[in-house]
Amino acid sequence: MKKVLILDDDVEIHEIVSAYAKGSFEVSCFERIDRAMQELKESHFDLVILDIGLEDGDGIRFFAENKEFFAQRNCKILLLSGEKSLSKKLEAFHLGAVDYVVKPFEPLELIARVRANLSSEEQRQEWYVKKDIRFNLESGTVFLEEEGELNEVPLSPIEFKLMIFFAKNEGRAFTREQLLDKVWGETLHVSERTVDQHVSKLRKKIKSQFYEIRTSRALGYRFTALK
Amino acid sequence: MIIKVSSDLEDILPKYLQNRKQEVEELKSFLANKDFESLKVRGHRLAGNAPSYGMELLGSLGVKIEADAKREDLSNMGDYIQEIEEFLIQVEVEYVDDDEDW
Repeated sequence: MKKVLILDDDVEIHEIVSAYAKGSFEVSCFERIDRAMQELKESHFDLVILDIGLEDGDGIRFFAENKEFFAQRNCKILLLSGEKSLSKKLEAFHLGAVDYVVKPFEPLELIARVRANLSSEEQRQEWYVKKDIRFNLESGTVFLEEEGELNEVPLSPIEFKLMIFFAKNEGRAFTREQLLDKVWGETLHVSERTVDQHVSKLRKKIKSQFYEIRTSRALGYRFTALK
Repeated sequence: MIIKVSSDLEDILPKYLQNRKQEVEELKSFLANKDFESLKVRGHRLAGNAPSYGMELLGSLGVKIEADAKREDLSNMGDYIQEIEEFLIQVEVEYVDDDEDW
Protein backbone atom coordinates (compact mmCIF):
# COMPACT_ATOMS: atom_id res chain seq x y z
CA MET A 1 0.00 0.00 0.00
CA LYS A 2 1.24 3.51 -0.83
CA LYS A 3 2.49 5.60 2.07
CA VAL A 4 1.51 9.19 2.75
CA LEU A 5 2.94 11.49 5.39
CA ILE A 6 0.84 14.37 6.73
CA LEU A 7 2.72 17.33 8.16
CA ASP A 8 0.14 19.64 9.72
CA ASP A 9 0.06 21.19 13.18
CA ASP A 10 -3.71 20.62 13.45
CA VAL A 11 -4.42 17.13 14.81
CA GLU A 12 -8.05 17.38 13.65
CA ILE A 13 -6.72 17.39 10.10
CA HIS A 14 -4.72 14.23 10.89
CA GLU A 15 -7.86 12.55 12.20
CA ILE A 16 -10.10 13.35 9.29
CA VAL A 17 -7.61 12.54 6.54
CA SER A 18 -6.68 9.27 8.28
CA ALA A 19 -10.36 8.33 8.60
CA TYR A 20 -11.04 8.86 4.92
CA ALA A 21 -7.77 7.32 3.76
CA LYS A 22 -8.53 3.91 5.27
CA GLY A 23 -8.10 1.24 2.62
CA SER A 24 -6.65 3.68 0.09
CA PHE A 25 -3.22 4.44 1.50
CA GLU A 26 -1.23 4.24 4.73
CA VAL A 27 -0.99 7.49 6.67
CA SER A 28 1.62 8.75 9.16
CA CYS A 29 0.92 12.07 10.87
CA PHE A 30 3.31 14.68 12.24
CA GLU A 31 2.85 18.14 13.75
CA ARG A 32 6.46 19.24 13.70
CA ILE A 33 8.92 19.64 10.85
CA ASP A 34 11.88 18.05 12.64
CA ARG A 35 9.94 14.89 13.55
CA ALA A 36 8.53 14.58 10.05
CA MET A 37 11.96 15.03 8.49
CA GLN A 38 13.40 12.33 10.72
CA GLU A 39 10.69 9.93 9.56
CA LEU A 40 11.13 10.92 5.92
CA LYS A 41 14.82 10.03 6.18
CA GLU A 42 14.08 6.66 7.74
CA SER A 43 11.15 5.51 5.60
CA HIS A 44 10.03 5.94 2.04
CA PHE A 45 6.84 7.93 1.49
CA ASP A 46 5.11 8.29 -1.85
CA LEU A 47 3.49 11.61 -1.04
CA VAL A 48 3.54 14.31 1.63
CA ILE A 49 0.46 16.37 2.48
CA LEU A 50 2.14 19.54 3.64
CA ASP A 51 0.57 22.41 5.53
CA ILE A 52 2.08 25.84 4.92
CA GLY A 53 1.47 27.67 8.18
CA LEU A 54 3.16 25.30 10.60
CA GLU A 55 3.88 26.24 14.18
CA ASP A 56 7.60 25.58 13.79
CA GLY A 57 8.09 26.91 10.29
CA ASP A 58 6.83 27.65 6.82
CA GLY A 59 5.83 24.60 4.76
CA ILE A 60 6.78 26.23 1.45
CA ARG A 61 10.25 27.08 2.78
CA PHE A 62 10.64 23.53 4.13
CA PHE A 63 9.72 22.19 0.68
CA ALA A 64 12.10 24.59 -1.09
CA GLU A 65 14.99 23.70 1.22
CA ASN A 66 14.46 19.97 0.69
CA LYS A 67 13.38 19.95 -2.94
CA GLU A 68 16.23 17.68 -4.04
CA PHE A 69 15.66 15.34 -1.11
CA PHE A 70 12.04 14.80 -2.18
CA ALA A 71 12.94 14.51 -5.88
CA GLN A 72 15.58 11.88 -5.23
CA ARG A 73 13.11 9.83 -3.24
CA ASN A 74 10.33 10.28 -5.77
CA CYS A 75 8.19 11.72 -3.01
CA LYS A 76 5.39 13.98 -4.23
CA ILE A 77 4.30 17.09 -2.35
CA LEU A 78 0.69 18.19 -2.02
CA LEU A 79 0.22 21.53 -0.28
CA LEU A 80 -2.75 21.89 2.04
CA SER A 81 -3.32 25.40 3.30
CA GLY A 82 -5.77 28.08 4.31
CA GLU A 83 -3.72 30.43 2.13
CA LYS A 84 -5.83 31.06 -0.99
CA SER A 85 -3.65 33.58 -2.83
CA LEU A 86 -2.68 32.83 -6.40
CA SER A 87 0.92 33.86 -5.75
CA LYS A 88 1.26 31.21 -3.02
CA LYS A 89 -0.24 28.53 -5.26
CA LEU A 90 2.07 29.48 -8.12
CA GLU A 91 5.07 29.43 -5.78
CA ALA A 92 4.13 25.90 -4.71
CA PHE A 93 3.69 24.64 -8.27
CA HIS A 94 6.89 26.38 -9.36
CA LEU A 95 8.74 24.36 -6.71
CA GLY A 96 7.24 21.15 -8.09
CA ALA A 97 4.18 20.51 -5.93
CA VAL A 98 1.80 18.07 -7.59
CA ASP A 99 -1.29 19.73 -6.12
CA TYR A 100 -2.53 22.53 -3.88
CA VAL A 101 -5.70 22.14 -1.82
CA VAL A 102 -7.21 25.06 0.06
CA LYS A 103 -8.61 24.65 3.57
CA PRO A 104 -11.36 24.10 4.43
CA PHE A 105 -11.46 21.15 2.10
CA GLU A 106 -13.88 18.40 1.23
CA PRO A 107 -12.20 15.22 2.57
CA LEU A 108 -13.41 13.00 -0.27
CA GLU A 109 -11.96 15.42 -2.79
CA LEU A 110 -8.60 15.52 -1.02
CA ILE A 111 -8.44 11.72 -0.94
CA ALA A 112 -9.36 11.57 -4.63
CA ARG A 113 -6.59 14.05 -5.46
CA VAL A 114 -4.02 12.07 -3.48
CA ARG A 115 -5.08 8.83 -5.15
CA ALA A 116 -4.93 10.41 -8.60
CA ASN A 117 -1.43 11.67 -7.94
CA LEU A 118 -0.28 8.33 -6.61
CA SER A 119 -1.65 6.45 -9.60
CA SER A 120 -0.22 8.91 -12.13
CA GLU A 121 3.08 8.58 -10.31
CA GLU A 122 2.94 4.84 -10.98
CA GLN A 123 2.41 5.45 -14.67
CA ARG A 124 5.31 7.83 -15.20
CA GLN A 125 7.67 6.76 -12.50
CA GLU A 126 11.03 8.40 -12.71
CA TRP A 127 12.55 6.53 -9.79
CA TYR A 128 12.45 2.89 -8.81
CA VAL A 129 13.26 2.32 -5.16
CA LYS A 130 14.35 -0.82 -3.32
CA LYS A 131 14.91 0.45 0.22
CA ASP A 132 18.45 1.91 0.15
CA ILE A 133 18.97 1.34 -3.59
CA ARG A 134 17.40 3.98 -5.83
CA PHE A 135 17.31 3.75 -9.60
CA ASN A 136 16.78 6.88 -11.64
CA LEU A 137 15.04 5.46 -14.69
CA GLU A 138 15.40 8.63 -16.72
CA SER A 139 19.15 9.05 -16.36
CA GLY A 140 20.00 5.36 -15.91
CA THR A 141 21.85 6.05 -12.68
CA VAL A 142 21.83 4.29 -9.33
CA PHE A 143 22.10 5.82 -5.88
CA LEU A 144 22.82 4.08 -2.61
CA GLU A 145 21.48 5.58 0.59
CA GLU A 146 24.14 5.54 3.26
CA GLU A 147 23.61 7.20 6.65
CA GLY A 148 20.84 9.41 5.30
CA GLU A 149 22.80 10.52 2.23
CA LEU A 150 22.35 9.43 -1.36
CA ASN A 151 25.58 8.53 -3.12
CA GLU A 152 25.69 7.78 -6.81
CA VAL A 153 27.15 4.41 -7.75
CA PRO A 154 28.99 4.58 -11.06
CA LEU A 155 27.59 1.81 -13.25
CA SER A 156 27.97 1.04 -16.92
CA PRO A 157 24.71 0.91 -18.92
CA ILE A 158 24.71 -2.88 -18.95
CA GLU A 159 25.41 -3.02 -15.20
CA PHE A 160 22.45 -0.69 -14.64
CA LYS A 161 20.26 -2.88 -16.81
CA LEU A 162 21.34 -6.02 -14.98
CA MET A 163 20.93 -4.46 -11.54
CA ILE A 164 17.43 -3.15 -12.15
CA PHE A 165 16.43 -6.46 -13.69
CA PHE A 166 17.53 -8.19 -10.50
CA ALA A 167 15.77 -5.59 -8.31
CA LYS A 168 12.49 -5.89 -10.16
CA ASN A 169 12.62 -9.66 -9.87
CA GLU A 170 13.50 -9.93 -6.19
CA GLY A 171 13.64 -13.50 -4.94
CA ARG A 172 13.64 -15.11 -8.39
CA ALA A 173 16.66 -17.12 -9.53
CA PHE A 174 17.94 -16.78 -13.08
CA THR A 175 20.44 -18.89 -14.93
CA ARG A 176 23.27 -17.21 -16.80
CA GLU A 177 21.54 -18.10 -20.03
CA GLN A 178 18.30 -16.49 -18.89
CA LEU A 179 20.13 -13.35 -17.80
CA LEU A 180 21.90 -13.11 -21.15
CA ASP A 181 18.54 -13.42 -22.86
CA LYS A 182 16.66 -10.96 -20.62
CA VAL A 183 19.36 -8.34 -20.07
CA TRP A 184 21.76 -8.52 -22.99
CA GLY A 185 19.02 -9.49 -25.44
CA GLU A 186 20.09 -9.92 -29.00
CA THR A 187 23.70 -8.94 -28.38
CA LEU A 188 26.00 -11.57 -29.80
CA HIS A 189 29.56 -12.56 -28.86
CA VAL A 190 28.78 -12.60 -25.14
CA SER A 191 29.68 -15.64 -23.13
CA GLU A 192 28.05 -16.81 -19.93
CA ARG A 193 31.29 -15.88 -18.16
CA THR A 194 30.42 -12.24 -18.88
CA VAL A 195 27.44 -12.54 -16.55
CA ASP A 196 29.72 -13.70 -13.74
CA GLN A 197 32.03 -10.74 -14.28
CA HIS A 198 29.18 -8.23 -14.18
CA VAL A 199 27.59 -9.77 -11.12
CA SER A 200 30.95 -9.66 -9.39
CA LYS A 201 31.27 -5.94 -10.20
CA LEU A 202 27.76 -5.20 -8.96
CA ARG A 203 28.47 -6.97 -5.70
CA LYS A 204 31.57 -4.83 -5.18
CA LYS A 205 29.90 -1.57 -6.16
CA ILE A 206 26.53 -1.87 -4.44
CA LYS A 207 26.87 -2.65 -0.75
CA SER A 208 23.23 -2.54 0.24
CA GLN A 209 22.22 -2.91 3.87
CA PHE A 210 19.15 -4.83 2.79
CA TYR A 211 19.87 -6.84 -0.35
CA GLU A 212 22.48 -9.00 -1.98
CA ILE A 213 22.90 -10.93 -5.20
CA ARG A 214 23.16 -14.51 -4.07
CA THR A 215 24.46 -17.44 -6.05
CA SER A 216 21.94 -20.24 -6.23
CA ARG A 217 23.65 -23.51 -6.89
CA ALA A 218 22.53 -24.90 -10.24
CA LEU A 219 19.98 -22.12 -10.67
CA GLY A 220 22.23 -19.11 -11.22
CA TYR A 221 21.80 -15.76 -9.49
CA ARG A 222 19.11 -14.33 -7.26
CA PHE A 223 18.60 -10.82 -5.88
CA THR A 224 17.30 -11.28 -2.38
CA ALA A 225 16.99 -9.72 1.06
CA LEU A 226 19.96 -10.15 3.34
CA LYS A 227 19.41 -12.73 6.03
CA MET B 1 -30.29 21.97 15.46
CA ILE B 2 -29.80 18.88 13.29
CA ILE B 3 -26.74 18.66 11.05
CA LYS B 4 -26.33 15.90 8.50
CA VAL B 5 -22.78 14.65 8.08
CA SER B 6 -21.14 11.77 6.27
CA SER B 7 -21.33 8.41 8.01
CA ASP B 8 -17.58 8.18 7.33
CA LEU B 9 -17.20 10.59 10.25
CA GLU B 10 -19.16 8.53 12.74
CA ASP B 11 -16.04 7.27 14.51
CA ILE B 12 -14.26 10.59 14.85
CA LEU B 13 -16.90 13.33 15.04
CA PRO B 14 -17.90 12.77 18.72
CA LYS B 15 -14.27 13.29 19.73
CA TYR B 16 -14.00 16.33 17.48
CA LEU B 17 -17.03 17.94 19.14
CA GLN B 18 -15.72 17.05 22.58
CA ASN B 19 -12.42 18.73 21.71
CA ARG B 20 -14.30 21.85 20.66
CA LYS B 21 -16.13 21.97 24.00
CA GLN B 22 -12.78 21.91 25.78
CA GLU B 23 -11.51 24.54 23.39
CA VAL B 24 -14.32 26.92 24.37
CA GLU B 25 -12.84 27.12 27.86
CA GLU B 26 -9.40 27.78 26.40
CA LEU B 27 -10.79 30.50 24.12
CA LYS B 28 -12.41 32.19 27.11
CA SER B 29 -9.07 32.10 28.87
CA PHE B 30 -7.25 33.57 25.84
CA LEU B 31 -9.88 36.32 25.68
CA ALA B 32 -9.52 37.12 29.37
CA ASN B 33 -5.74 37.32 28.96
CA LYS B 34 -5.96 39.25 25.67
CA ASP B 35 -3.84 36.53 24.11
CA PHE B 36 -4.30 37.59 20.49
CA GLU B 37 -1.78 35.13 19.06
CA SER B 38 -3.50 32.08 20.58
CA LEU B 39 -6.91 33.36 19.50
CA LYS B 40 -5.59 33.84 15.98
CA VAL B 41 -4.11 30.34 15.83
CA ARG B 42 -7.22 28.64 17.21
CA GLY B 43 -9.50 30.68 14.97
CA HIS B 44 -7.37 29.77 11.96
CA ARG B 45 -7.49 26.07 12.79
CA LEU B 46 -11.22 26.11 13.41
CA ALA B 47 -11.75 27.85 10.08
CA GLY B 48 -9.63 25.19 8.40
CA ASN B 49 -10.97 22.04 9.99
CA ALA B 50 -14.63 22.57 11.00
CA PRO B 51 -16.20 22.58 7.50
CA SER B 52 -14.40 19.31 6.70
CA TYR B 53 -16.32 17.82 9.64
CA GLY B 54 -19.58 19.26 8.30
CA MET B 55 -19.59 22.11 10.85
CA GLU B 56 -19.86 25.16 8.60
CA LEU B 57 -21.04 27.51 11.36
CA LEU B 58 -17.98 26.72 13.49
CA GLY B 59 -15.81 27.34 10.44
CA SER B 60 -17.29 30.78 9.85
CA LEU B 61 -16.86 31.66 13.53
CA GLY B 62 -13.24 30.53 13.25
CA VAL B 63 -12.76 32.95 10.35
CA LYS B 64 -14.17 35.80 12.45
CA ILE B 65 -12.05 34.94 15.49
CA GLU B 66 -8.89 34.82 13.40
CA ALA B 67 -9.66 38.08 11.60
CA ASP B 68 -10.51 40.00 14.75
CA ALA B 69 -7.52 38.59 16.64
CA LYS B 70 -5.25 39.76 13.82
CA ARG B 71 -6.68 43.26 14.21
CA GLU B 72 -6.45 42.92 18.01
CA ASP B 73 -10.16 43.69 18.17
CA LEU B 74 -11.85 41.94 21.07
CA SER B 75 -15.18 43.79 20.91
CA ASN B 76 -17.09 40.84 19.41
CA MET B 77 -14.84 38.00 20.55
CA GLY B 78 -16.99 37.08 23.55
CA ASP B 79 -20.03 36.80 21.29
CA TYR B 80 -18.21 34.48 18.87
CA ILE B 81 -17.12 32.20 21.69
CA GLN B 82 -20.63 32.19 23.13
CA GLU B 83 -22.02 31.25 19.69
CA ILE B 84 -19.64 28.31 19.56
CA GLU B 85 -20.68 27.23 23.03
CA GLU B 86 -24.39 27.44 22.22
CA PHE B 87 -23.91 25.62 18.94
CA LEU B 88 -22.13 22.76 20.70
CA ILE B 89 -24.98 22.46 23.21
CA GLN B 90 -27.70 22.50 20.58
CA VAL B 91 -26.17 20.49 17.75
CA GLU B 92 -27.57 17.06 16.92
CA VAL B 93 -25.76 15.01 14.35
CA GLU B 94 -27.43 12.75 11.81
CA TYR B 95 -25.09 10.49 9.90
CA VAL B 96 -25.92 9.85 6.27
CA ASP B 97 -24.23 7.86 3.53
CA ASP B 98 -22.16 9.90 1.10
CA ASP B 99 -24.38 9.01 -1.83
CA GLU B 100 -27.44 10.44 -0.07
CA ASP B 101 -28.43 14.02 -0.64
CA TRP B 102 -27.02 16.00 2.29
